[in-house]
Amino acid sequence: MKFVPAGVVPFVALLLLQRRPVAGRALLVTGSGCPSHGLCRSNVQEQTRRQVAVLNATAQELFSLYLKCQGEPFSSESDKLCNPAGIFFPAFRVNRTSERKEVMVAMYKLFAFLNASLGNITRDQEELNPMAKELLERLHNTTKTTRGLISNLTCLLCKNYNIFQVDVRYGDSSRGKSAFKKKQQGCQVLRKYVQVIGQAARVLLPHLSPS
Amino acid sequence: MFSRWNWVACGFYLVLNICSPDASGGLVQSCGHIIPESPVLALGSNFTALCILNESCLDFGNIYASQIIWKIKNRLVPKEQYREINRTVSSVTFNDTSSLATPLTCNILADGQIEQNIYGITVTVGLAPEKPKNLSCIVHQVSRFTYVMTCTWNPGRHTFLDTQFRLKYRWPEAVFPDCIPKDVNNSCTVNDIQFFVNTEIWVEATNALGKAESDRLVVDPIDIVKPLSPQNVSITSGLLPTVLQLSWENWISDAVMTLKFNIRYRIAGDTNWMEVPPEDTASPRTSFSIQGLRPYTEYVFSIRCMKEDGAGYWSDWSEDKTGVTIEDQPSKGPPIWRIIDTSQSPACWTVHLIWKALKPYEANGVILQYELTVRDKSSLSSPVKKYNVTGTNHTLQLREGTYEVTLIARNSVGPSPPSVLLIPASNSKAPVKNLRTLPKHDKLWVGWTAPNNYVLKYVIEWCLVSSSSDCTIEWQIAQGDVQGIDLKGIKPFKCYLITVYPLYADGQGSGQSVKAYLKQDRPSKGPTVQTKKVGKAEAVLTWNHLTVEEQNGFIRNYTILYKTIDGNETVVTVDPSKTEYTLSSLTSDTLYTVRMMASTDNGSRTGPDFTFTTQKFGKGEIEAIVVPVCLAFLLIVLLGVLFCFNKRDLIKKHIWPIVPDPSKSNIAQWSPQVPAKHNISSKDQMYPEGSFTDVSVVEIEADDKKSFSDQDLKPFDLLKKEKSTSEGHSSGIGGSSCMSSPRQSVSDSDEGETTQNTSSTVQYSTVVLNGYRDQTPVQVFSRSESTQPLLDSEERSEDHAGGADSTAQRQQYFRQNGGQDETNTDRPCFERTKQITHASEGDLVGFVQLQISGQSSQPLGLGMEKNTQEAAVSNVLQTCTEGQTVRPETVEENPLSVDEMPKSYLPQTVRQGGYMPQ
Repeated sequence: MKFVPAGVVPFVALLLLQRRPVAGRALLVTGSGCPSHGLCRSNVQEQTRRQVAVLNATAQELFSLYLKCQGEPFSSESDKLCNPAGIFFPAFRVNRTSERKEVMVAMYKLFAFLNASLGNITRDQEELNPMAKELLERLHNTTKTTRGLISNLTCLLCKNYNIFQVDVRYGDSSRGKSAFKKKQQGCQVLRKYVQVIGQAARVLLPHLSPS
Repeated sequence: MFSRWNWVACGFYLVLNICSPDASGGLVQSCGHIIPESPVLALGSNFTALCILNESCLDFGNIYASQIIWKIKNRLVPKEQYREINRTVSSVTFNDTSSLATPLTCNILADGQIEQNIYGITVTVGLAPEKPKNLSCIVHQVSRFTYVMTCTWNPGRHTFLDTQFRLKYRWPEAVFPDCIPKDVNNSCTVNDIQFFVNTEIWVEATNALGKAESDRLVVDPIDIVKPLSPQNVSITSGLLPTVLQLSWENWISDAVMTLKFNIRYRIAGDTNWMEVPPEDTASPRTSFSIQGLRPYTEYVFSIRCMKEDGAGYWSDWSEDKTGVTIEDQPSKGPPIWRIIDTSQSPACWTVHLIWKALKPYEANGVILQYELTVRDKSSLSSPVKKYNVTGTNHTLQLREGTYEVTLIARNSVGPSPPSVLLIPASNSKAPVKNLRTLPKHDKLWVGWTAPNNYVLKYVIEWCLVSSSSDCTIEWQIAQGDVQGIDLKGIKPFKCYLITVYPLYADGQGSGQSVKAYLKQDRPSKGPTVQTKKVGKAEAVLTWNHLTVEEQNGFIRNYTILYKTIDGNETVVTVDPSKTEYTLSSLTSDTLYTVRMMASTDNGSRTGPDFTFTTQKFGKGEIEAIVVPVCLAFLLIVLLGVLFCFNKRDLIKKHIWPIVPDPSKSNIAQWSPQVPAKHNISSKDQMYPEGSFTDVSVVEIEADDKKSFSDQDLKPFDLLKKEKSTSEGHSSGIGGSSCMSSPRQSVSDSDEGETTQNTSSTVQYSTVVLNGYRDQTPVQVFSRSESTQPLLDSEERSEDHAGGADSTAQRQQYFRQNGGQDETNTDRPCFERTKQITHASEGDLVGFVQLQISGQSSQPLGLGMEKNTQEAAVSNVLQTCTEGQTVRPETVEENPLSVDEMPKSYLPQTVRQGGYMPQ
């Protein structure tokens, strides 16, 4: 277990961490008070909801585009090849009735994992499909969105619940694997991502809607 | 000696030290240095520098801080600013760094006042950066997923230093790399932005004198987005002719940002945009139906968008897209009017029906044809005539009467409502009143007062008045409830004739016309004036009206300007209807310059100058002078004639003294050989060259001269005085002598004519046979124009003849008109001369006759005037011969009749041995 000093893990650090499944504890703050309190405004809750909505709205297109760009057999046998059963994906066992704090923590773990995994997938696709501009653009935007989402969640956890530290587990690193394995791992993560982000959006909607 | 070598060594050491590199890396160590090294100073602050000498130099070269001098560039710093801290350190202080320049050098005055540089530093003076102000950012959408954020700010004052600006931004838990501007200092563009995260943005300015930060801007980038305008805009026609549907695609998904829209549209060709109410498009959408459009009209659409909540910026307008609504039935019938030509026959009209094509918004489609129906209202039995016309006019031949014309325009959807025009037999209804015009910018308003009766419509005709072409009529229909319309397409400075007809339900009113200008200008040329008549004190000027093209407005008046060369100009204003004007009170015999000016409401134009000169005398003045003078002259002449008539006897006595008839003299009766009666006719036949009415030939002995009394000589003397020019020059016989001067003869002949005409002068020729008794007598002849006294003398001679009658009878010859047989011209002259010597009267007469005919021989005549008597005789003989030979020629050359021949004879000079007049 490694100690991650900041809630948003730098991309380079993610690469290093994902050599194998790892767990982390996100230290949101050190000491009393939330960092950059001036930025943690009331609109962060709505911003978080909008970010999840954007991810939810674009996840399926991203997955479809990913499959399309990987070619055969992924485009025709995605159900078989992209079955996420064999990979690690953070459990998202919250629902609309869950406590808001619990939801926030679960989402933090989820999007910290996704941020790292999307970073790895983007890196692999830049290597495998450098000409797939739209796919790369979407992967970049999704990664950036998860990064912003983690920042907002950190703000909310700190400001609303004084949570300064969250244990996070990351997935396996694809570095060193074959191209097929890289494609397959990305396919499995994105498929699971499509499933979970929809659930997260539904769960998050009542909790983050303006009251 | 030692000191001298010491200073030399010292100088050499200094040079080595100064010229050598730094001590640390060079061969020789410097003698000193300045602190601070290369300072950057704030402008206006104070500054102190220290020059520190090395101990080694002190020991070797006897150099101390007291010898240090400071310089800025090459300018010596005043010593008041120095301070010797100790023997190795000297300081210099500047209270205001603005006086500083680079380099600042520390120098030393060695022995002999040799100035050596110890050290120098560069000084940089500037300002600390100001706080950047007015930071603002905008996120531009570059593509569907790409956004860039550009922030701009005011960098503040110029710092004179290298100042770096950095745009910084961060999230609550992340700090991003700074954005460093390129080539500018007031803006920077960030490529990596993320929506829905509060981002703190600020600008940091840094230079050697400090650092300054702008106010921090916290913003969610989604709230400052300027999106791309909607793409793939398309327009589709709906089922209704007044609706078009607009569709488009958004660049931003609703998940990221919901949008609101602005839609604008305009009719193609129009410049004014109409806009769909913003509240109708304030929600996210990708299509919109626009209603209330005109049928069969092309519209241009454009759309833009922005974040639904109004945060951020409007996108640019999308590219224009056009769409056309579908057709509908024409909304109204075409305006129709007529022009009736009755020039052929009043009872047979040529009716030109004209109508205007419907405007696009009235036609609502493509007009396929016009359906024209003509019904004769004066004859119910007449069939209705129908015509299908594709143009906008139709000509009919109709009899005089009342007709109802109906016109329908038809497009692919259906017909228009009918337009009805009633053509009455006469336009006897009430006209409009108070017709007037008023220019309104580029339109001409025509107003009128409606007649008392109800008017259906008004027809307004107008045409451009031209002097060179016919008036091309344009027309327009106004509804009956209006009392004025704006005429479009009216050109400025042109004259228009505007006529308004009221149309009633049962007829048509007579037209009222007015001329109008949209805008007036001064005439393009002035009138050309000229005189029609010029008198002594007045001049009638005339000119032609300017053509309507030249007028450029209503001619309000003409102005005549006239002046003399040195006089003041006189101005006369003339009514514009006139073409003639009389200038009065002019000065006689004076040159006037006149020009003419035509004026409109907007200015005047002067024509060319025209000059004229008034007459010296007025009309009738000359007649008033001449006629009385002539009358007076005639009166005087008449009086003179009357006077002469009354005094004719006295005058006659003085002018024409009574001349006795020589034929009735006693001498004639006495001479046995003289015929009792002169046969005038025979004489004329014998001497056609000349006639001698009265010729007396007297031969007198020279010795008998004494026998004449003075009284006898008096008349001759009188003649001599009158013929003073002949005296001493001529023999006096002139025209009667072959030797006489022709000129003299001419002169004489002038008088001779008068003399002859009066028939009062009796010419006498005297032939003197001069010579002594024992000598051959020389025949000399002479002539005298002696008048009456001759006869008196003759009478007196008769009286005196008592004492010497024998001599007189032998030597005197008096002969009148010798007989025919005595004028034998075939006889040689010489013989005749001899015969003369034998007292042949006829020969003498003939001789004289010959001499007259030969008087053209002027040189002989001249010579004769100076010759002696003998010479004269020889000349006579010679001339006589010549005269005989040239006679035919003479007759030819001088075809004068005898009466025309000069018959005067100069009186002869009385010479010794010559004759003596009797």
